[in-house]
Amino acid sequence: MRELKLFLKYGLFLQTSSRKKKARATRRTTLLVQIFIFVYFLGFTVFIMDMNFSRLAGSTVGGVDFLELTALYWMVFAGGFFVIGTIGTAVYVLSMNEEIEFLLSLPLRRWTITVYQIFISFIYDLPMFGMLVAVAVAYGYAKGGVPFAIWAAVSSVFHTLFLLALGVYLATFAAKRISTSVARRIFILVQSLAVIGFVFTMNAYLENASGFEEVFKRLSNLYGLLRSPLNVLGYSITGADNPAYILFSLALAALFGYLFIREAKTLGFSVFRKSRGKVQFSRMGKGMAIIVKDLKTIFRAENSLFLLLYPYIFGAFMGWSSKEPVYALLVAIPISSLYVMMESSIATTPDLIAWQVTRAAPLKFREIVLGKVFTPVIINFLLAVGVVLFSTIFKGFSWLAFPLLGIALFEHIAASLMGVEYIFAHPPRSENVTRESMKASPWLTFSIMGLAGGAIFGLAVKEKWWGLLILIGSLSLTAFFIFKSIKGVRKKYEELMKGMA
Amino acid sequence: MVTIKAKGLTKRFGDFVAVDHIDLEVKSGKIFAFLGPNGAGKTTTIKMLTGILFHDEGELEILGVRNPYPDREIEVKKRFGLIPEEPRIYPYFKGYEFLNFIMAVYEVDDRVEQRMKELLEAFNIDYLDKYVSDMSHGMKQKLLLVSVLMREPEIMFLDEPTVGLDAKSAKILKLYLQRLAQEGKTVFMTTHILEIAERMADEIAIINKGKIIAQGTMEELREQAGTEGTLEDLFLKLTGQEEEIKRIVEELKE
Repeated sequence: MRELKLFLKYGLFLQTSSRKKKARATRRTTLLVQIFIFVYFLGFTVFIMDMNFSRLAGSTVGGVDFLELTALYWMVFAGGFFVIGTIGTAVYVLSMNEEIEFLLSLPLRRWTITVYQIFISFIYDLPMFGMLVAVAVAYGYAKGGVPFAIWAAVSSVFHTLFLLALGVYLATFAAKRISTSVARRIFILVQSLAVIGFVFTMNAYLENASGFEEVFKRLSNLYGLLRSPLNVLGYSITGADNPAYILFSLALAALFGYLFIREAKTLGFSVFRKSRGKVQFSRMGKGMAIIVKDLKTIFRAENSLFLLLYPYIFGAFMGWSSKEPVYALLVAIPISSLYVMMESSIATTPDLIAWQVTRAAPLKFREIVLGKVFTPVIINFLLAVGVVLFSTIFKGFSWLAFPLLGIALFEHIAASLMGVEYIFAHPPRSENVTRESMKASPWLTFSIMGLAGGAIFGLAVKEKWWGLLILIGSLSLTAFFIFKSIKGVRKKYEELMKGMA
Repeated sequence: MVTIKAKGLTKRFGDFVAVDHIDLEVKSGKIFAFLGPNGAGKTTTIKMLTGILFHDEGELEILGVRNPYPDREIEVKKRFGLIPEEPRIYPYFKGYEFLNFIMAVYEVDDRVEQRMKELLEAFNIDYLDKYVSDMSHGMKQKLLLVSVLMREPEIMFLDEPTVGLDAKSAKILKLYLQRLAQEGKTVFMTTHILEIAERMADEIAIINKGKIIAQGTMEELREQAGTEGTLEDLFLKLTGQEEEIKRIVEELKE
């Protein structure tokens, strides 16, 4: 414990920088950004859940409580997403990096280094934690008002403890046995398949039923299954009704916590990448070489799959579970805008790390910058189109898709420019691309998520005059940010040339 | 032919003058050693000569192009190569991907690709499938050397090129640079290993606290210092470190 306290006291977490004051500010920044996303997820999910849950409150037929059934359905989704997300980020932080190498050279126990690294990873899992708590709070509020909502929140916190212990145990278990790179890819694939599989299974199960009686029978079976003590992913909801489940959560948290520490004591912290031994020389044009370089950088970053897929998988699920396709992108666009900013930062960081190689090469300013701005924008636009197609196929076409995609494109261009500008203004101090590119200031995070959220919200309530005002205001501000960032990127680039950065 | 010409070249960082009105003239076919203590202004000078940093004052001419940065930098940059002090390469590239990128950016012909393969063999580079982030300092240094040497550019700027190299690679590099100079290329290098400079360089400049304090051939430097001896002796005398070293050693003895 003393070692853990030391870690936290001297703030050896999140970022390492040669400039102490900056490092401290950066750590605070990352934490603030993640807390902001947590609050955003929490607030947004409570808002959406409450619309669904309040309609279902009190509707009980033949012993099936529809409110509880729906809440459990969501909780299984959120809980599963949280566990797999935790594994994904924990596996990443348990791979060898400069900081772990340094810590291993000190007389510190391995398990404390592991716990401390897990602490870092949990900060990145705050959004899903927010969703877990939100489902429980919305359920509690619909069922018994504010007091019950508070009780449900407490239940969800204990439940999260267990899910976190389970996730980190599995991550440590995997990190000791397979390459962390492989483990990370497997878990993200499992996460994507689990979400899609869960949605399809649930719907196929209910939609294939013939007649009301069959539907009701299946609903009863499903209700029984979801309320079963074996459904460990639903304890936030079942725990709100029956405190025994909270005790189960605590007991399981202790068990998996113990197993995790046992594994962590002998963890080797594997090297992240393994090469396949293939060498292939190829000739291509200058423009293509730059695009390929930026694409490879974005896709090879440790958290790339998470940043690219997370908002859209979540968005697709939201779209699937609601009537209006607008909900599919309502969450996806603000979150993906933030992630686009990080992706363009990721694309820019290596050029600043190898600045002398980049600058000595015969490359023009626009050749260096354009790919970094537009590669994340194009990838995300294609993903957003994918979500709209998914929503159109399963929920029907909506004209709203066009303005939504337009807003996505517009916000993503702004976000991408802001990401590039930020890295030019704050050149990396280490060669850790992922960490260097996650340093965006809270101000930028609030701005881009606020603008994207404002535009989408304005579009959702466009019939009201103030909705239209919010929409126009958000888009105008975004245009201003685009203009400001274009000038900013150029200015910061020139400052680098003058040695001012 | 004069390939590098600087007159009154100056660089300031706020109030600090990193390079203070230096004059340089380097001809083709010469190996030019640019020496100085840590923080003297060597790397800043190379950065200005290669357009990584803009200079604040003075005139610069590279390969016959007057003040090439930024307006005519592309045509000049195609004709020189740089090995920076720290071998920092794009971390998410594998070794061969970096070389593919360099070949594309410099739009090289087939002869360069052939030369690249020969250099890879000469430097024992058998790790091209590795990610740059997993390479050691020396491995990255050799990769960067190949990426520059394969093009045989008209000027090679080398900032501490032998740091991190094994003995065999360092020897190959030195011989290769001498051959390139004989073929008319310009080699502009910094090094702290004064024996290398003494053995290889046709001309030497010593910079201290941003100012060039001596410049010329070994013989000319001896004249300027008013002493015989090795380059190390001259260097320590000219930079005023000789007396300081004696004093420190005496103090340590006590």
